[in-house]
Amino acid sequence: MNATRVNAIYRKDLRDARRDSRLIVALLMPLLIGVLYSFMFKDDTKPAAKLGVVASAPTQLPAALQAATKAAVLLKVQSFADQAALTQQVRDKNVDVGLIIPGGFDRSLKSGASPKLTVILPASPSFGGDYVAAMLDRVTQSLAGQVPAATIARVTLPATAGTSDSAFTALGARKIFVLVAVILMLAMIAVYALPAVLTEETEKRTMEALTLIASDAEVIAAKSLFGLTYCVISVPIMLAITRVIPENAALFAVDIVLTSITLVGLGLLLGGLMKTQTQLNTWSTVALIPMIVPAIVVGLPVPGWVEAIVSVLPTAQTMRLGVNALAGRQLFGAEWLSVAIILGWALVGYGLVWWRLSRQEAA
Amino acid sequence: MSARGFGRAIIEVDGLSKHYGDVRAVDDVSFSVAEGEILGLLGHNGAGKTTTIRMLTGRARPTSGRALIAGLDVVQERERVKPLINLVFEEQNLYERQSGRENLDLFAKLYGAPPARVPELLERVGLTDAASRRVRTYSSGMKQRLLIARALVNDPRVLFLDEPTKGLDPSSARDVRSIIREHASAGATVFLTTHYMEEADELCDRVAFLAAGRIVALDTPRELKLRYGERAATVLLRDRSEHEVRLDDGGDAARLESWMAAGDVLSVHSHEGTLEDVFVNLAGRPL
Repeated sequence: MNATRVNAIYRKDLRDARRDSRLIVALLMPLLIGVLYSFMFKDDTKPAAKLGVVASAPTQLPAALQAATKAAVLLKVQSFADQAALTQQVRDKNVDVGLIIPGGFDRSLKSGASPKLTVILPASPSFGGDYVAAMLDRVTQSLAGQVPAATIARVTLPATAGTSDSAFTALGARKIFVLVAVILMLAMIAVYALPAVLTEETEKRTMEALTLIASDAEVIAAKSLFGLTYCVISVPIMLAITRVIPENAALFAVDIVLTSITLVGLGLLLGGLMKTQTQLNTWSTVALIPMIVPAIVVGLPVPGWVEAIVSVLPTAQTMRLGVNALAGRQLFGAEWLSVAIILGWALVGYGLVWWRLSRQEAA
Repeated sequence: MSARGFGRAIIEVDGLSKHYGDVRAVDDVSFSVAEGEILGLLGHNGAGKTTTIRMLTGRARPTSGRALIAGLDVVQERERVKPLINLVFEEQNLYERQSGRENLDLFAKLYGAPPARVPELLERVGLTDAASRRVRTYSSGMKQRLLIARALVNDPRVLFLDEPTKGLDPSSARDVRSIIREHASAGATVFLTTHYMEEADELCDRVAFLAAGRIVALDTPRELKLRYGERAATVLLRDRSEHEVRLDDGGDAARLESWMAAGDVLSVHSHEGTLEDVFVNLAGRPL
């Protein structure tokens, strides 16, 4: 492969794209959506949290907790019959934090007997759950009027793979939607901008002029670089405009780079299959659906089969890693699996591109 | 069929065929073209002209047979053949959002040509003043001249041209023919397809007629006209009537003789057959 040729084609594509209104619109659209989301949703929106309670006698503690946390969290209280039911709900992340309150808790507290209070938290607690658990000590002291108050036993449930509906509460809608807009932007580059460049070369037969001297592999390498450049430039622009800063910048960078490589591979495949701009306009819309829907679905309470389907798609994993990176903690487990799934799709994409090139060469 | 009166053969084609299913686009074609020669390939649409060029430029793999350029197999040694050749496509496949200079710069870099080659070529095809304008603002003739400049960027030993003057006005077509002739006079080989018989007659050292994928005749235009064309004469008689007579036709020749004997002839203008006549004789219908 001749690096000078790859560079010449790559620079030509960059220059051409700056003058191509179709590509400018394709990139501006997700950027504007991201900015719009950023204005529509605010970071300071109070997160909601659900407190599950098992209490064998009436107690003032849930109401006192609600009052103490109301400045930071919209706390809803739900009663459960027994500890097993509550634990299951916490495990399923339907409840942010569980509280087992023994009988006669309020009386024991006031008498200075230091009653035992059990707090159940998931492996990756939401902001609301964490906040409520942290406030327990202060609230019980206030109810008891003395120190030490209750003995608090903290039970953290083991981590389970799967979606986390705490993503919204942990990050807030603004960051979640900006992340969705980032994925939309990468998808637009992959299924529209890059294939549009390739299809135009095929349709106008400039590709034949290029391959009179350059190899197919050199042309594909240049187009890949073009797609990757647009991906890695546009994401920081989106983050800068929306002022969304990932807590774990390294993980976020890995997520974006891996996703860009993968989607560019899939975009090259799509661009190779399309012979005309009209075909591309039709099919790119179809191809956009399996890229953007999984990103939206992640973190929402969807049926298991929907979750199973979207989990094998690359952008669902991009979203999971992105949420973890923005939050700076593992709201979604098994990050290695997310990386493996994204890389798997990269192998599929580039493998099929290579297979098509080999067939073309033999024709 | 070999080249005559030129250097050694630079294009050698032996039994070349390209089949698409049952369709024989090119069928067992053999010929050679010498260094410095201009060979024209003529034929109807679908006769196999473009497919032949596609195979010779390595853009289509032959079903059978082989083609060598400068002794290199166009399939097996494609990467070594690439720098030696270039092609003016039938379509004006230029980057229209880029300027003329940017188009040439790109291909100069791809072929590893020196940067000075670009202004030199722009000057040669008369596009220096328009070099900074985007190609989409060019006229068809300007685009064609830019296409030719692009094809000359690597100073190819073999220049292929697929219908180089199609759709051009007479003045632009004359410019294009002049550039082609100039390139050939510098020692390069030119292989062109055309629909225009006058163009082939004027430009080509030899002409090959392709019909249904096969070469039905290949020789110099003069030889072809002598062999397959009809010699004719326009006879003006004293009564001011004008008659076309075919000199190779017994009846017409006898008629002319009788007019001459009677002293009825005012003037006789003889003319040889045209390539158009040759083509009609060989292919059965005009181009």
